[in-house]
Amino acid sequence: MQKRVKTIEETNLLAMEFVKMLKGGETIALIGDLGAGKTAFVRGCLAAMGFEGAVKSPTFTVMNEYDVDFGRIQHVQHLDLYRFTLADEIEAMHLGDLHAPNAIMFVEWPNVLEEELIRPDIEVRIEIEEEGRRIEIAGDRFQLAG
Amino acid sequence: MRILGIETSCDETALACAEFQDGKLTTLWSDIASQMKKHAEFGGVVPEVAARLHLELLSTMLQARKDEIVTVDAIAVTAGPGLKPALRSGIEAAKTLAWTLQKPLIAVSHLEGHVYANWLDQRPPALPALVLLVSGGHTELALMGEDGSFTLLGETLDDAVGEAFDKVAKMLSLGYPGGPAISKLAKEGDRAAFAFPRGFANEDHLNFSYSGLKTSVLYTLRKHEDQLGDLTFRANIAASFEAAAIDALMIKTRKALEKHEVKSLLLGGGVTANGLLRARTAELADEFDVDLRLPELKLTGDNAIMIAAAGAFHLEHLSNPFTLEARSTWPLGS
Repeated sequence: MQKRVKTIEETNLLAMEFVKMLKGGETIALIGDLGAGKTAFVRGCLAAMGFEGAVKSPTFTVMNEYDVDFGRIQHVQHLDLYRFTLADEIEAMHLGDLHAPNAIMFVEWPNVLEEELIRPDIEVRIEIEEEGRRIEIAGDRFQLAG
Repeated sequence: MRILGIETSCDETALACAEFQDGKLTTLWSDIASQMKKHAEFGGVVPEVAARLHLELLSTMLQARKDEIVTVDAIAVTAGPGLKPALRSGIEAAKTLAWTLQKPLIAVSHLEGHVYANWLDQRPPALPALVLLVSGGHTELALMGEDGSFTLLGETLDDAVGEAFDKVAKMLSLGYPGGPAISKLAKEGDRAAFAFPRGFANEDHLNFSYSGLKTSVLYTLRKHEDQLGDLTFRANIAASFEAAAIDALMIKTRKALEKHEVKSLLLGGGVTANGLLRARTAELADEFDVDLRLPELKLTGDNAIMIAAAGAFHLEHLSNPFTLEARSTWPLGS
């Protein structure tokens, strides 16, 4: 599906629809330029899952973790591979160990390296337009109504 | 007494030793891997993250200082906040040393380390103090009480100020790290050329937001795409951005100084190397008649001597060398 959003409120509404479709265990790739609103989308998802605290950019911290209580989803990992320059560095993080049926993982800049290191179940592409953003959501094992 | 400091929370692998006597802290030695790797003994490029995760770098550094390490009286290690696998490298090394040398182990907050950098090799700052921490990963205002306790007053709700510098530098195709590159370009530009937003300027709370500033710069660059190669345009963007970024810090620091009576203003973190920030905080400190402490330039980035320094003030809070664990989040004051 794809949707055009003009305001952050519209992004948040889309995020609300999006998280309802999650079953737990998904890896979600976030693709878009600097300033496209990748973290803003994650913030919307976390808010929709009832998380009330600040959702900060993971660019420097690499990974931020959140505890939520949203159906089967209890943990949310928010990663950013933007600063990585070597595949070894990403492999050394043992991202596979973080996988759990009650956790979902958002990954910003999953394609920062040429090698395919992350196999996302869902891709969220955000493009900056003249007015607002175009958000496209796709996934092989995943069908979003709308 | 001598305190060993170990830091592996972020990009640097660092090891240092401080002497703590009569309330004064003196640097004995301070090694940082990203600098040391230039030395022949390491050879080639060291992939920092991988190296720190595999403990190789730290092992080499510990080996190089082994004669000095056996003389320490306590071991301080960064236990958070940071990436857990990275933190664990330092923590496991510290636990092993503490057990084998039978010395006390102290878990230190990386953020407190940045604050205590202002105690090193100088007269200790007077408390209470207002603390402003500014780096790639942090933007925080806190109150440090006379007893050394911290109360968080405000923090960024999205991007950190240093991250904004790096991302705007990236948009302008300047190098990494972005801070110095932006500041250099800004010197040639007009700070008032573009009216970029100051996050939460009119809100009474003391939180920060840099995401809007980043997006505003992005929109301006997209709108003037044809001028991207023009030096004056680029310099004006850099200057206006830098002014907005530093202004936003000053607006909240001023509000905090109005609300809280303090004796010192303590700065910490990588962004404290910024010239405009240094100048503006000096003006503010004069106006409010508080003692401004800025870390020496070599201590603005991550290092282990600041961890040893913070450890000196937590000798009564020892950790168990069998159970100490990394904390991915550890807000000041908790």
